[in-house]
Amino acid sequence: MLSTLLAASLAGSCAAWPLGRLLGRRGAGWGLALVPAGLFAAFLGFGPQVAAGRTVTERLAWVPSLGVDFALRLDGFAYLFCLLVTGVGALVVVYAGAYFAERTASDRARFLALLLLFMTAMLGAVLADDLLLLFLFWEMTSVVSFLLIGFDGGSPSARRSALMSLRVTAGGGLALLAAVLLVGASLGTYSVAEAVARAPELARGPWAVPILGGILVGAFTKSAQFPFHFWLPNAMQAPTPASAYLHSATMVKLGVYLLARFEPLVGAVRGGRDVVIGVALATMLVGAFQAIRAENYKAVLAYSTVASLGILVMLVGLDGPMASVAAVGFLLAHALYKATLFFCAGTVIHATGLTKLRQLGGLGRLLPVTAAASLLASLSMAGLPPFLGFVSKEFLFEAQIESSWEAAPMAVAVLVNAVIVGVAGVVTLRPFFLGRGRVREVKHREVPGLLVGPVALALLGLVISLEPAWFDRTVLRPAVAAVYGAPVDVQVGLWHGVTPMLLLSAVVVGVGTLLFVYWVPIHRRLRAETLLDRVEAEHGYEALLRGIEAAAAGVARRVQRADLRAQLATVVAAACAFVGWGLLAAGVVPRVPAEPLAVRAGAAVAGAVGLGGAAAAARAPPLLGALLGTGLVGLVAALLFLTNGAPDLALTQFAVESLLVVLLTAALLALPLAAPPTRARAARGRDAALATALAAVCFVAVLDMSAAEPRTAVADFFGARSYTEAFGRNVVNVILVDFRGFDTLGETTVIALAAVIAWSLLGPRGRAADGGDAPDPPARPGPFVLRFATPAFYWLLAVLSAVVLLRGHNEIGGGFVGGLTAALAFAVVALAYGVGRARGRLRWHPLALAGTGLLLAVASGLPGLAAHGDYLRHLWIDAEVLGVAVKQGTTLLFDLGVYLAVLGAVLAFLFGLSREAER
Amino acid sequence: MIGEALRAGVAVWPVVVPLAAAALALLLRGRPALQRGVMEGALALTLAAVAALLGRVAGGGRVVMAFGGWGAPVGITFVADALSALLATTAGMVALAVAIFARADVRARRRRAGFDPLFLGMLAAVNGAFLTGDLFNLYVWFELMLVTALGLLTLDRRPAQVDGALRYAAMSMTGATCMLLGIGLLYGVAGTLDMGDLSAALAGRPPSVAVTAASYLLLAGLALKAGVFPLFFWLPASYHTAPIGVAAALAGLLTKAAFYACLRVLVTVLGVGTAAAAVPGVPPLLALLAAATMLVSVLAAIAQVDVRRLLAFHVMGQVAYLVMGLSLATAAGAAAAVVYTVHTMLVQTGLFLGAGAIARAGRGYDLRLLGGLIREHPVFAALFAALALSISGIPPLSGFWAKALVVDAAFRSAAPWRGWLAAAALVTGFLTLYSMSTLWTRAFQRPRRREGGAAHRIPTAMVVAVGLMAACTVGLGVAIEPVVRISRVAAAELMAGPAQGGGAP
Repeated sequence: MLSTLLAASLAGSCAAWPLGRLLGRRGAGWGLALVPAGLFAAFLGFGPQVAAGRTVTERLAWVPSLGVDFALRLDGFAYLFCLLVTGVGALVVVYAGAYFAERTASDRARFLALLLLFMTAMLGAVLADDLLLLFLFWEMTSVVSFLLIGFDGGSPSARRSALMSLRVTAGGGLALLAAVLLVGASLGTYSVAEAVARAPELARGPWAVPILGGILVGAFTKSAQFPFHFWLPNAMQAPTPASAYLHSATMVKLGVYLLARFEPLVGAVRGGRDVVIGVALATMLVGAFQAIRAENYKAVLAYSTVASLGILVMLVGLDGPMASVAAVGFLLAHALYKATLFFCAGTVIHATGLTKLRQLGGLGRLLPVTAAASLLASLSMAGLPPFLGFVSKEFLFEAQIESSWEAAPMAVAVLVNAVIVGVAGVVTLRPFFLGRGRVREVKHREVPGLLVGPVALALLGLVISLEPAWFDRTVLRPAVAAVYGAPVDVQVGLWHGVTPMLLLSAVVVGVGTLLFVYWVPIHRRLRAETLLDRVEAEHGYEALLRGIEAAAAGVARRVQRADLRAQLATVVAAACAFVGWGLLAAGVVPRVPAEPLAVRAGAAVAGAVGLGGAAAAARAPPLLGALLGTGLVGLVAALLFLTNGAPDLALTQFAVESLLVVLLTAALLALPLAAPPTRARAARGRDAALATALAAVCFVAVLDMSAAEPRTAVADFFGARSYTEAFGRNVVNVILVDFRGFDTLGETTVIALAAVIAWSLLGPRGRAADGGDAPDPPARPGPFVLRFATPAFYWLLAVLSAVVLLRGHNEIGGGFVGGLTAALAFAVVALAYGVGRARGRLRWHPLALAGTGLLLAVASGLPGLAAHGDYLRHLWIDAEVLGVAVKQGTTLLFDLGVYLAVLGAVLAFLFGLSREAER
Repeated sequence: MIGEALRAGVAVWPVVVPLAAAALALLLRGRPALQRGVMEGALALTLAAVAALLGRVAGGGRVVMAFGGWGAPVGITFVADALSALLATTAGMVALAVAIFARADVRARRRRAGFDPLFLGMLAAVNGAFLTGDLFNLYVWFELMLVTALGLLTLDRRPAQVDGALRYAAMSMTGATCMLLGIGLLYGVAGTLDMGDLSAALAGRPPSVAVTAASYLLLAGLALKAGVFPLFFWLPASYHTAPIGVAAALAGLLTKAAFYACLRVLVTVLGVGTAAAAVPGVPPLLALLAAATMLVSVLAAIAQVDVRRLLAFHVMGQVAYLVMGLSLATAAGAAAAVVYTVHTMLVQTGLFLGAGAIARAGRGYDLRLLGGLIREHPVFAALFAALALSISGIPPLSGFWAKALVVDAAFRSAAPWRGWLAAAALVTGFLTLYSMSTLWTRAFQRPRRREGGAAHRIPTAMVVAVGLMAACTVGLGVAIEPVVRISRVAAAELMAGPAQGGGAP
């Protein structure tokens, strides 16, 4: 049932956008108000159950793995909130429909939809019995209020206020999230009711202070408690119907709601009540002072709201049953009169276009019904009998007298309540009844839509206190019981005899009246005190923002330095530091191989030469020198491969080195050969140190590795089974095409796609920049000797490449080297006759070659998959060709694919570079 | 027989299909419409394959493909388990959104320059990285990712792109070298490259210099590729130069694949977080890196005025949460990191695609000039808001669950620094909200700064692509349970250690 209501609310708010446009200028407000009104009626239906002290619960598994439920729970306190949220909601929607009558249909519909969405969030938050669900709706109210406050996004102050409220309330929400998660981790449940019931357990746990702190920060930000209160007055940038809703019955009360729920935890943690009451008193004082200082109609109301919220939080902080009674009573009374006053302020601002109180006056004649409603609400606010405000103020003082607290809260409460009395007088008497003639005409008259809300709520504040039976039974007692945790015998009555409470009320009214009378001089005097402006908490917020921005700018400057070399140095340094930390943490020292290292002379010489090459490459300023140095390192590597029994690797390395020289020469033709040194001396030293460090890490690790017992099962397997099972005598090739053929497939793709990049990056722009192929430059014959020898070279290399490819599985060779050899053949042609001739020889486009190669390689794995269910399992056929037994398999297909891909890629680079150079 | 082969190859189709299609697209050079058809068809097939795979392993268990029929540890295997299938499926969704977006963003010129084969190659590489059970094979896929990313980055041949790609290449190759050194050392010690076999071989050994150095070099290489401070410079130096659809794919796929590799290597191979950890000292280092990455990235993001740069910094800020989950060295932390990975892949992609749409409507990426888009594009504004709120961790979006799970895992862990780590995560959450709310307000709400009247039209394909990612984050926010469940299975399988080795050769 509860979830149905919630779903209906959500559906209503989703439908409101399109419906609001359809219903038109007059109908939108009234029509859409049916959603909250219907919900209000539905909640009224729960009255008997709630009055009987029963709670309605509903629980659906939501994220069972985390123990998160979609759990709803309606008890007396939630019931009060549901009635307020839907009842005031209905009136706000009607009001907003009329308030937005002159705006575009789209704006109106959007605003009404947001209001209803906000109502849904509020309902969900007060009904949720799962802390994460509660948090969900909690943050939803923050987000929707952001949209409501910033509804008129064209105004900078509206945007600023919207962002401020979002940052403060959603930021506080994060603290709440931490608390929620800690509760879950401590108790193993997210149920709100259970968490409250087990508050003493939480208070004894290790996380007590963070949990309470998180809840308090969440509640204080939401309910605008000092020092987070500043967002609320700023939020007055919202269109007035939104202010009336957010700041009377809903958003700001949510913090109070949460705090009241977790009151047992506040009481259980040592110092909890002190913090709450201290913050509340500060809030009350700040709110009261600023209310006197404020000039704008809505700002006065906003600051008095801050003060009232302080009173509510103080009541939650006080112990004793009467504190709960007073909290519930004041919560209701405040919601009714504050919503009314906001409505009236909205009507006035709407009608006159004026926002400052001192500009207003004499509106009682022009807006008579509004004036009457405002008067009733103000009387309630001032706490005069027979209004609900009077009743709640009696409760308030009774709670204070009853509680174990001393005089300070009492004194503050008297003072602040007096200010509230003054405010009540100022916001009604000055615009409507005093200063006659200050405003002579209004732009808009009162229309029914603007009147229903204020009148209904103002009357309700009177009706409840005069005819309290139903209210007492169905709303007040269950709500108090839910907050206090046990039924409290409480009577709503206007006359209890001459009690201390009555005397205090009289004092408050007396002081308040004086305040009202001397309002203007006091207001001026306090306004002149600019010191108060300077200590505003809002400055703290601004300073925080500035701090964030400054820190951000500083960090951004550091991480966005354009110096690639410094960044690379950082990376290498970090890698070395990581290893250093690891060695430290492991507390290990390198082992040395048991038998002393047999230093082989050949290897040592090769190593020294390689080292020299590396040093030369690092030092040499001209590019050519660096190129030669690098080439030297490559050759040494090839030599080492050769001497360690890997001729295939050596061959590949040699071929790669040769090709690299060819390709880079092609590139260098287009580049200046001498480059000035670009590194300062210090940078060189740093780089050398880092290089040495990384080399040392590798050296020590390799040394340690060779000291370990070698584990050679896999390598042995390769050696033993290469011929018997994979039918190849060349183990390296068998590893490449069979044992680890899939790696090769990946690398083939790398090569083929590198060709794409080379082709699109190199070569002429213009049409080629559009991906098309520009015509090749005219053939430019090379030196005679080269031309003379070329045909022979070409054919020799072409045949060689085919042989290398075909016999690769058993002898030295394979697709990769074969492809490189073939590429060399075309490279020779290109060097001798220019790229055009070479491309003519080739006929195929290099990328088509690469693509075909890749396709072949990929496809060669499929027969094995179809036959045996293993991709890249090669199939073999024995055949006799010209009397020679030939055993051939899909490995050849695979190798051919590699061959073509390599050929295509190298040629794409070569042709591209040559075209770039010839340009 | 065909049906049988189709089923037998279920673990390998996510790689082979895009690879074959990449080859086809290469052959169809110069015919952009056909290339696009091939790419989209292959993408659909790949998605179907990964979904089928996920269906097979979501509840636990693994599908193994032994290439060449050799089996581990001799040959290479693909080991599809809940983790790999979940992430591959997410990658498929990301690719789908990018492909849809590309219909409006990648015109014939970019297609001729090789968008389709490169994109397919990247998808294959990412899936390969998710699926492989072999350490060196993993490296191969990272190489393919690097090459395809370079190609995609320089699609327009603008000097800024070449400059960005150069930085990307230089730093990525440094990282790759670290990885390769680590892999080589591990092979030298354990004589095997199969992850399961490696794990078994390393489990019993006392710590040694070789294994420690290898592990931390691997960690450095992978952390670089994942975009972890202080190794992340390549990312903000390059992402903003890429065509925006490409940037979206890079943001959604690459750093996450690197994090996945971290997870696999550190937890499965090196046993971090299990009783049989082969190297000590990893969790505190990761915790430190996570906290530093978070705060540095989000602060740097706040200072940006270019939407792409801003989002690029958030990519790293979000990766930090994954690292944080991993640093806890608990199953809950790993599971949280997996949920976060799924979330962040989708949302980062959506945000970058959204940035592309913003730029299309407002003619640029400069936040100082943008504004007022909510007037003409209210639906798009709502979609982008959903993504922006999701990355900020606001419920009921996927980002909320992801963040809550990571923080919760921190609270439940035994790490002495858990409170500080959780605090850093929450502060970063606040700063992310700060940054994203500013972005949204500036681009959508504030009146337009630039002359020239109304905002431009946003192509439907762009809105659909952003909408797809927004729908994913909303959908997951409402129904996160399946992902949480699969992630728990995945984490349990990760922590369970070696189960994939094919026995002795």
